[in-house]
Amino acid sequence: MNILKKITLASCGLAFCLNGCGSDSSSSSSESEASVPETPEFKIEACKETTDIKASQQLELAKQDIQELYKALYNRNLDKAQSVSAAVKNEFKNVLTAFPDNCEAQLGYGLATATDIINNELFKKLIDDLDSESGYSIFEMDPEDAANVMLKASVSAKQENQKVITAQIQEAFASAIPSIDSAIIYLRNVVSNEDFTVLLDVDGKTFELDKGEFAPATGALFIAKSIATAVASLNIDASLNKSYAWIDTLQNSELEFKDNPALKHVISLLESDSPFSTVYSDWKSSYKNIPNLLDSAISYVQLGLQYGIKEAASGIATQKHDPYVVGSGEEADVSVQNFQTAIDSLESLKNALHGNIKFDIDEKHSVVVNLGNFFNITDGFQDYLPYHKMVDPEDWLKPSSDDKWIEEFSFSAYAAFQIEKEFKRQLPTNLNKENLDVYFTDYFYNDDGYVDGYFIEFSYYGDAGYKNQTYGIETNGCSVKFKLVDVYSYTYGGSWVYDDELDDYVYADEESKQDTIQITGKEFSIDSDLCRVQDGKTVFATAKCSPIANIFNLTDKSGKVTVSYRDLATGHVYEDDDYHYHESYTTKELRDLIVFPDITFGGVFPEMTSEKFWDLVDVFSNHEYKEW
Amino acid sequence: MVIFLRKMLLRCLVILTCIASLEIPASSFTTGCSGLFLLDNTSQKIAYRNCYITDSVEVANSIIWASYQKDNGKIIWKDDWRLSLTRSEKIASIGVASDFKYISLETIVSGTPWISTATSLHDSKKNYELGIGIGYGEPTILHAKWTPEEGNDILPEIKGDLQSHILQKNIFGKATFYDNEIGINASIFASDPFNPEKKYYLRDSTNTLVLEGTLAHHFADSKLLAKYLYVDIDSKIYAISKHDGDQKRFLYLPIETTLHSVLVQWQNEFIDLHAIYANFSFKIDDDGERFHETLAPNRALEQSLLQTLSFSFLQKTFRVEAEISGNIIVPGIYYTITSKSSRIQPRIGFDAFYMDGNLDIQRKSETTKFITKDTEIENFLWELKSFGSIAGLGLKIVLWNSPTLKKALSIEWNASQIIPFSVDLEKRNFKNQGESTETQSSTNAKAIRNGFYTDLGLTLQF
Repeated sequence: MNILKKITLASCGLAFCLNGCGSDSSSSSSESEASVPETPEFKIEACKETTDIKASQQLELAKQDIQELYKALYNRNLDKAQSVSAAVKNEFKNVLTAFPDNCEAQLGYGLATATDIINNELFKKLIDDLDSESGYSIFEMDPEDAANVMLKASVSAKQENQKVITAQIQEAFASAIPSIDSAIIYLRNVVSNEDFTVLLDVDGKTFELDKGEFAPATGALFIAKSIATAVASLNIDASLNKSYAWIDTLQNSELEFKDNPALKHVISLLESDSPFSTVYSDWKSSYKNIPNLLDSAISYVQLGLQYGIKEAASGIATQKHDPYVVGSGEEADVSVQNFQTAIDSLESLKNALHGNIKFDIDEKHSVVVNLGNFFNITDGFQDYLPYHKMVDPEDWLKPSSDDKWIEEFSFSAYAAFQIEKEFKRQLPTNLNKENLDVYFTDYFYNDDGYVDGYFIEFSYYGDAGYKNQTYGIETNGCSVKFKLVDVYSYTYGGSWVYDDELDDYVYADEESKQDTIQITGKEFSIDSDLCRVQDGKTVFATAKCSPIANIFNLTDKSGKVTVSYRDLATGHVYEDDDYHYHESYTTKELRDLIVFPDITFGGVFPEMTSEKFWDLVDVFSNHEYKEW
Repeated sequence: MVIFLRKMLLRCLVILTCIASLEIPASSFTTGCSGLFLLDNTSQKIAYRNCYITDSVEVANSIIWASYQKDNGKIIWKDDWRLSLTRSEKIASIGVASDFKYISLETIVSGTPWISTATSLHDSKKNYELGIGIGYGEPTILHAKWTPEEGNDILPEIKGDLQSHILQKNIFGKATFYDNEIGINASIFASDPFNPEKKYYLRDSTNTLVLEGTLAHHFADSKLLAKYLYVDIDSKIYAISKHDGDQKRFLYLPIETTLHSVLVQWQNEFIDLHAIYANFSFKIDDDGERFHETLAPNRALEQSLLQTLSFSFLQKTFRVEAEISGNIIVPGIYYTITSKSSRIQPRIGFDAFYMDGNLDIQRKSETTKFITKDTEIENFLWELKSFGSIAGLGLKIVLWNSPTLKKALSIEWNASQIIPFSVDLEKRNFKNQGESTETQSSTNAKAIRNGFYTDLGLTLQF
């Protein structure tokens, strides 16, 4: 990966890692904010088991269909799920209209209502838009690909009056909340009937579902509501002028940092007065209620586990058709002891939602947590970042005062950034940038064998074939010229050839002679703060290890710089005759370099001190080390 | 390779049954090492090494012997996971065999631990003999380690040992009349389920029947031998996870194995002409019963909130039905170039082999998520036909021999190499998930690349 790309990604990654995305003054939060939905309220009859034959027949059909619906969802077949969902909801609704107290109908209708979110207009439109953006079904993609499609869609030019993608997502989630609420009302009613069980024919085997399953499912609905509320509540609008086109600009490595408006935008997101990551004012009460939703979720899961323990007390005979058997011995899935331990763990978690709870990390370390306080942070997370000062992008690549000026050009020279940028500028403008990769290399092979030195190389995947060209970096004082030293190209459409060594077939492209891609070959000068000619010698400002853009400085409370991002990323450097060794800062050193304004993170970790925090970092990093 | 198979059988008998059938020269010292390297590629590896020292002393009508052996075996199979089965045992054994006029007694005690004893009644010339044996032991048979794919933090690394409690009973008889010899041996092994105090362990419940019949005729300078072996193993292997004293079964393998084998051999001082025919079948059945799943990973998870909740939202089980059967024919000839009285006895040999086999495995993966169950069925049908040769070389050097004093010192080396001429392996895989079916087939894939066996031994007879 080229250096510039690395830096750009690092800076972006860091910006996001520090929770620093927000809108600048030109983005309006009110436009992005989804309206808070009203909570549905309706009364339903206490559920009973009905003996009506016609209803039973209808329900049998509906039960088979709801299984089809869930199967389609698990198999990510959205089209089928959408069509079945609407039908299933109606099937249960019909029985419910005739028998409002029928338990199975209430349960089925509740579940179908929750899953029918996939037919919610806003969700459908969002998914359709994303599908047309990628050309594939986003529902069938893995999360990473789906996130990429969303990012791409967020950048694409939007239609007139269309809201930015984050606003569309938030609206869709907000609109799902009433359906989840309705489903919760039905499921809670079903759970309150202690003896209700439902038999399902699953692939010719009978499954008996009871409170052990209904209660955790109700808990899952509360969790779904919590997630939907959190997504809809937080200001995640990072658009600039109602557009995410800036993300493309951010990745434009031909631009100087100082000229890149996207970088300025990212920096503005990190500022504590940025609305990004705050909770929309209309959503504050819903957001602050999330601990109560989670509490309910946990309570229902506990209820389900408790029911499992109760069933186990009467042996395993009554659990013959249950999805899992609770009991002791080998002819059971899980022991009563496991269930009890899980209930106790959940109780601790529940207590942490409303007060302080101590969790043991290991024999010596523990942490006191108050998760409820997390949901009291509504004014953004920027205030909890370590004390820092962003560096003006114009100065990001300026050498540090203790960097050396060395006679020979190397890839550690800060000039490497400029050389790469200039090289890209010299490439023909008609090349498709997505198929182009530019990188430095210190060797290449030609007919004479291995050649080492400092080279810049590009790979280009054109329509007909693949091309790779290597250029020597020729310096004359602080002037630089690129000289073509090696070219090779392949056409696509080779053939499968058996490779004895690999014992497998490999695809071999055919070497071809295509026209060389021409660059302008223009000579250019390196900036005077990166290269100088002094006493007849040319010297380059050279980083201790590799050149890193200094995006920000960390400071103490008074604003005094404790360490630069560049030094933090480089760590300690030791030199001997041939090599540079670098070692990361120890947690003991970091304790003085990274200072948090509120180490308790708004009371989420109420007893946290700087010493305890860095001890824990030590424990976790050592733990990871041991695992590897 | 044939030598290896015979030695392996002998060692297995020592390890598992300790039937006192070791041909230990009276008052001798032997030492040696052997190794089998059958497969070594990126995804599978089979290797076995063994070294031993045996010392025996004849006192009056008794032989007392002691041995020490070190076994190292490793089978590695990498797929989406890595399974390694290893055996690394150091076994010290001591045995006493006493011959009286009408009765012979034999006792072996081994550190595996194992104890066995055999008693036989016979006439004064030992022309007719009938005996019974009994043995009991708790040998650790293998260590298994299963590691999930890299980066998977949910499934734990599972380490388990298979330690068995084995009871062995056998009856044997022998009759010699004129120049003929008839021998029979019937053994029954039964293992008791055993639960060690470990977090994960393997347990077996095995019943084995071994029937052996021998018929031999001695000519003036040669011997004609026919042997029949029948082995029937009915085994149930369980893998158990144990939390707070409560056991949960996460693996169940009911395996039925049958072997019929016939050996016909004619040998004189220089030539060993032989042919082996074997027919085997290996079967794993799935009765579809609950808790008889081949693998139920949820029950193997570490005790945690995640494990508990997984039963409500995501359960996976695998059921395997397998049938493997085959035939092997190995005719061969070994030629010792010089006579047995020579100091240097080079040996050269060649076995041809033909084998055919069928493998039919059905793997049913069931995923239960809340109210739905997804079933994926994969069928693997493999047909193998192969022929080739096993070339063998051997050399025995008698360093010192005194027939009058009945003392000798010799060194012996053997090596064999499998050379497959033709391996025709046809693989057909079918996958059926819901409405879609995928089929893959390939032929002439390589089954066994090659194999190598070697051993080196030193014997001092005094």
